[in-house]
Amino acid sequence: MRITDNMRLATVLLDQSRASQSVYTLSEESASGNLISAPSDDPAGYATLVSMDSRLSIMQGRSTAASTASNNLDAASSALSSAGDLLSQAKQLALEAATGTDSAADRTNAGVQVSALVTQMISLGNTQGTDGYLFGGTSTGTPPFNAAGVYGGNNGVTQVEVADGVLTNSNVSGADAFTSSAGGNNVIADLQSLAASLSTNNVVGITSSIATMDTDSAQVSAVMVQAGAHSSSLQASTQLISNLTTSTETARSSLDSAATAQVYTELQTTQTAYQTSLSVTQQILSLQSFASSVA
Amino acid sequence: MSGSLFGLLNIAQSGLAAQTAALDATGQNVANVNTPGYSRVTANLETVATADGYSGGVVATGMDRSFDSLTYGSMLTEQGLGGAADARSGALTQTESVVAPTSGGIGDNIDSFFSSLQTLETSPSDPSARAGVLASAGQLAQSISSTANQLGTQRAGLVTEAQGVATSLNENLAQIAALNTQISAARGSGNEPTDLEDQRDQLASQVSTQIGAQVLTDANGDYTLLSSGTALVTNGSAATVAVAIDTSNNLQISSSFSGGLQSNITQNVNSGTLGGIREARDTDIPQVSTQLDQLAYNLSTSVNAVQSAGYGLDGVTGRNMFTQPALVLGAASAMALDPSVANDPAAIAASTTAAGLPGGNDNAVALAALASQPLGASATPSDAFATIGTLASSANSEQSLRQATVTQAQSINSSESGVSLDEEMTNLDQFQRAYEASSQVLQTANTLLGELMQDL
Repeated sequence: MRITDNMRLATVLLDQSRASQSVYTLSEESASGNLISAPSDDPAGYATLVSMDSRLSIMQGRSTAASTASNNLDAASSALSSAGDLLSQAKQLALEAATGTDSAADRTNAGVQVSALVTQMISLGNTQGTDGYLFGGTSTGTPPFNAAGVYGGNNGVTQVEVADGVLTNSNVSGADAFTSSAGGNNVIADLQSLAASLSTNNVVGITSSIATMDTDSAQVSAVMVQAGAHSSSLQASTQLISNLTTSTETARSSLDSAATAQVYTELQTTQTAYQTSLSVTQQILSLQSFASSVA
Repeated sequence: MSGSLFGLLNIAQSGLAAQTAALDATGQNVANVNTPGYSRVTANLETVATADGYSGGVVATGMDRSFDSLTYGSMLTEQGLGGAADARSGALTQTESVVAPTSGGIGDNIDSFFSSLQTLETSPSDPSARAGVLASAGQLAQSISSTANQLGTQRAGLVTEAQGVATSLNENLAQIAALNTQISAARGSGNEPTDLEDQRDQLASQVSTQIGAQVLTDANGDYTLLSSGTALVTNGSAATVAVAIDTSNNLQISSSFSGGLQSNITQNVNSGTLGGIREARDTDIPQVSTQLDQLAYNLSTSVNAVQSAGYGLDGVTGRNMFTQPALVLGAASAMALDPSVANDPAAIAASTTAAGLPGGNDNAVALAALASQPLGASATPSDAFATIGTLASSANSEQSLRQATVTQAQSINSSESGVSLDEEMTNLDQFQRAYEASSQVLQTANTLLGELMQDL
């Protein structure tokens, strides 16, 4: 085949442009640390990345929702624990007042203390979380207990999604803890009745309240246990999501992240190839000038 | 016969003239070594026969142009395919950057939308969580609709580009026709117009890059340039190519000779820049648009179904999140927040019952759960991106292949008709020596004649 000057140049120019393109791509990869920066870099890989990013975003959202819900449940649990303490105090006061040594004045004083406990109990029942009142069911916008201790909330359950189709409760029922709606006792009414018995020196009433305080305490504790159980289930989910996130991120980075050493080596190789093709071009051009000078 | 000193003088003189013509050809080749489309020439030298059978010296009868119609034809074909691949790859690179920007694209906005719904799960009555949902829903609708509109704008831009190509193509066709007239006039007066032929071949090569071309010349010198199944140049007359839009918003490419009927050649334009633009504009981009429409339709429909079943903080139900599209076609560009929820964060339905307000979050959970459910039959965001990625990457690899085949075809053609400086330098030497020798002969004849004159 007859070789002309422009043939030689055209061939080395094509090779040079390819080498230059490779150097560009590899520099971009090593600078960004990513192998896939546009769909055309690897169509199937890009689609997988988009779907992985979407999974990661969903998991992050679930993790945040689960930990917010878990914090609210912890707050509810702690309020219920304080409520149990208040009931113990009330029981203690009732026990002291039920003995024959207490005077009517002592009982009246104890009655004032129990009335203060009622106010504290109402305030515990109106504890707020990140999105309103914790014990109002889904009626989170208004205090579930009014000043008289009457419950105005509902038994609505809220849940958060922690995995595809898996829902965990994110609240506990204030009605179950504090009211007789589920067949239990009305805790605040019981405290109010103890306070009344104390202030009216009604020993029989005081004595019967002692047992009631125990039942109330058990009722509050049962709901506290539920709150704890939901919270720990949410925390377990958060842990699970965190593990899944780590493994998804690992898979994502094995697909997209440029292995530094490999890219660096390839970059070196292509740079050498590029330099070689430049020097070949130079030689071809100098051959031409040599031919001209000989002639 | 017998030789004569005067005859020798003539022979020497013809040698000088012939070597000068050969040096001329070499000079022209060297001067045009980098002229695009130049075909090297060689001086055609012949011996001059005398009546008595003896040689009467040499004569340069003209310049021969080294041209191989076979390699030239295959170069034209490759250039046409290369032009198409270049144009398509360029257009799709732009489409890719519109549909899948490095950040802030549709995929990111879908993720933020569902992530804001997850925040709503734990804060259904929080005005800022609701405002967050509304903002990210608005952003999502806006990004889908602006992407669809940008694709529309790109298609419109490609029409302008195609019309620009057609304008330049028509100039090239007209010049080829004009050159045909000049070439046949020159041939009629016995000249060999090699430079005009070079110009014509170079123009045909440009035409090939623009729309694909095939050149036919017959024994009588009749010239026809064929493209897309029709003749665009026949001897001295050139057709005009026009680019317009048909009723289905597709490119319509037609050609007509002056005073003749317009013929629609659209379906045959598969080569050259125009072919590449046509494929990107009327096949590839609509495919991406369809995916995007499907995505917008499925997303709006699924989100609306859940949102409209729930209750806003104001106790009102039956409100859509996005304007419900009636058809898949055009769903993407029309995507927007439904007027009943736009500017009203309380309208986001977080609860499935009015009684569950304001803390009920079951509808928010259902909305957020859509993120991990398949949207309709197909077209998840990943599907849409995979389509565009596959199109763009196949166009890129075709372009790279074509670049190589065009270079190869040009090399093969250049092997026949290109200038080799090495060769020309050797020729230069050869003809220079021959010229020197002829002048030596002239000098010898002159000396002999001089001696003869002295003897007389």
